[in-house]
Amino acid sequence: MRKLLTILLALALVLGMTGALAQEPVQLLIWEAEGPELDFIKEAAAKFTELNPHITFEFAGVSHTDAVQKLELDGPTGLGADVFAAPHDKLGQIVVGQLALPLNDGAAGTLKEAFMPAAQAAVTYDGVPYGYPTAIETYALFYNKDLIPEAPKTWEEIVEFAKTFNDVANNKFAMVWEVSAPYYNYIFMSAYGADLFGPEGTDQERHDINSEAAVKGLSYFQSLREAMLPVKAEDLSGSFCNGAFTETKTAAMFITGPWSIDGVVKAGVNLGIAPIPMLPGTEHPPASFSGVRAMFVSAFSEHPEEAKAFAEFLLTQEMQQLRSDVTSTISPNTGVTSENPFFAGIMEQANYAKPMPSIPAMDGYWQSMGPAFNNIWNGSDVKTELDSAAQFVESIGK
Amino acid sequence: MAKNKHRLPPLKDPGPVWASVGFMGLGQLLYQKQYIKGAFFALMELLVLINTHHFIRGITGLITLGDPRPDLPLRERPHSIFMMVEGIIFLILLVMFIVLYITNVRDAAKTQREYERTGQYPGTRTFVSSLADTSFAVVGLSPAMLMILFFVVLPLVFSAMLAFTNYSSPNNIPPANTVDWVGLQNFETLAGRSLWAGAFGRTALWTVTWATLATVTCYVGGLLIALALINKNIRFPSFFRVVYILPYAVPAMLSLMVWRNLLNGQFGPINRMLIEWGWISQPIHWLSDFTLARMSMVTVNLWLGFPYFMMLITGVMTSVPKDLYEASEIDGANKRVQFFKITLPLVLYQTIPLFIMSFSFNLNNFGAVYFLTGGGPTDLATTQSGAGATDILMSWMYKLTLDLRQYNMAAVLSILVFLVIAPFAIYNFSRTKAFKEGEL
Repeated sequence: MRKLLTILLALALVLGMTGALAQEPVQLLIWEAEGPELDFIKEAAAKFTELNPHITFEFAGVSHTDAVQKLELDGPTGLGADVFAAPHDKLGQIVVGQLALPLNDGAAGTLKEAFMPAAQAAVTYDGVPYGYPTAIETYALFYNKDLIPEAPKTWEEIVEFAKTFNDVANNKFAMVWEVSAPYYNYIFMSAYGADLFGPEGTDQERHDINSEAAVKGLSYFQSLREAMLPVKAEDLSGSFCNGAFTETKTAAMFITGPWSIDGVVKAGVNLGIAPIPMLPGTEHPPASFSGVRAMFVSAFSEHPEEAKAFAEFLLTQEMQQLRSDVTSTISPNTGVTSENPFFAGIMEQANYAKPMPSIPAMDGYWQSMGPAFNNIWNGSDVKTELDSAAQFVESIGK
Repeated sequence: MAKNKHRLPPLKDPGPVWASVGFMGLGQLLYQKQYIKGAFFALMELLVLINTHHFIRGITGLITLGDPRPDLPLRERPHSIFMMVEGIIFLILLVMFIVLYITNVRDAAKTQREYERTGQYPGTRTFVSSLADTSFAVVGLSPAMLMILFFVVLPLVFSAMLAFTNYSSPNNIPPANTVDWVGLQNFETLAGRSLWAGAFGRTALWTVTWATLATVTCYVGGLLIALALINKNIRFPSFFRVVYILPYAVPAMLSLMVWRNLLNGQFGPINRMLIEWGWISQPIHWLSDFTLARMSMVTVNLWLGFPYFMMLITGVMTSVPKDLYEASEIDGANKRVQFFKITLPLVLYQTIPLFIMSFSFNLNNFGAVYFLTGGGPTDLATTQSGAGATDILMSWMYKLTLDLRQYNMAAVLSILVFLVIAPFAIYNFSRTKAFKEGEL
């Protein structure tokens, strides 16, 4: 009898083991940008493997801005990632190319309950959520409290301040920013109501690039060169603007985003962050572009369920908190708290932000508006430049 | 047999030849006792026959480029670009097969003629010795030919074909959507977008100007420095040689980015220094003025590129026989005459091929544009087309391909670039003495 029992027990053990073995080992490939983001995802993956021992991970350092294009080429050959990071403005390309799988109902529920509306909107296309948001960001006004104690509320105040502060020969400027970057200078289009591709950012016909509101905003933008920053656009590159604010501390203000906070603070700047100043005749800060960074599950994945389970795991408050701490970025999960004192100013600006449109015609905006901002700053006719840019965007959108 | 100009009399018994026309190797195997050769030919034909359906699928794929199948999941949809590459591969294989078939028939005829002349078929030994002897060039070069077909011809044909498709964002990017043949439509679009046509003209002109200036300045610069260093009055020549080679030893990309910062109009150290010394009162717009930016680009490239020619020319000069100079001195030649009549011709003779290669390289010198100016400064035409003042065709194409994913338009441009560059390259190569005398 005892013998029989032993045999039965042994049999049960063997069966149990085969039951466990039935979960075949699965390896997922993750693409994430090198740096703290990759560090975080490795840590999260290790935690996930603890809970699901049959799932292991491989990592490749792929910049989140390149991932989509790389997947278009690598996906069909079977070399693509199972889970990849991408900025939300690639969502249009992802959906048109059908590169990512939509969220399961469970994950979609979490997204709806625990995440900021802006982040939900940014990863949703035609009502279907595709992305697992991990961070939200927008740019704001960074100011050096040692040079200007109170953040100005309007551009007119800055122009006034520049009159006493500027010393062109010694590179001293009230404010610097990358004047040819279509990303930052969207504020001058939105200020008077030019709403790029409509309120949802998906209306290809309504680009508003050469609308009256845009012409008005950019004419003001052009006048700022004489008034406060007499430097050619080509010379105001990102690295020099950053250097003037951070290293030499000859610029009192700078438009940049949360990614700069670390460097600025380490360089010893007495940093304050405030919303973007208002343009003359407007009542609130202009809309800035906000970016949401999200993880996506590849449509080419051979293990879509495991990949989705991992992506959903990244939405949990615990993981979102971990990511916010490791990468010092703002989590779009409303339950996450941050000890970073600078995030408040950015969050205030985020209230006015518009998620960057993600339709393919945006490629045309990035390509043509760079030169357009550059030329307008250097003195070209505003209307002609904007008409040309609009024509370019129309030809690309088709 | 092209050698035999006069017509040969017809064969008495053309039977084996017709057998080889019917099936590769049949004549050789059945009648002519050419077993190795015959078996090889027959095997090739069998291989092709077994794979007929692959050939048919590959080549129809190339013609149709796949039908849109939005009902299928993404990974099972026809991928036009893969189909295109596959189709080209089968097309190349087919051409190779046809060439082999013709060779087979010719060989059967040749063997038959040999038989009718001598009364016996050539044995295996004759065949093997002829392989090593008369056909050695063909046997020896065929691996290289295969490599060229698949690694040079295939990509070239592929990228040229893209110009006749609509492979572009947003609506024709596989695998979600298919790509279709559109004939000459892209060329019409380019001509019709008058803004683009203007930008193309400007950029093409600058590309040629840039390549000429960049190559000539580096060559002359290198020549002058080499001359100076070979002069006996210069002390520590090897020290200077090391110093001058340094720009060449640092990765060009880094140097270019450093130069970009040095030349910044407002913040750059060069302007700051000049202002501090009181030489100028207003900043010089090194990289933000149309003409100056182009000149800056050529100058920075000179700094980067002269060491190569300096080393090269120094090497050539030291190998010029000393007795030439001694003999000319006895004949009363001075240093100037020696330079123009002995040194320069010998140096030119040996370095012109490299000069031409450098010219072709500069026509496509993407790095010098991308890392120094990024194509800027810009004007209205840049807003309209993307091409800036210092953009060369290559860097403009890069923007079109990577930023806008207009692969078809980029392919059209690359064909046009080829048409611009090819005449220069062919003319230069065919006129160069070193190449002429290199002929076998």
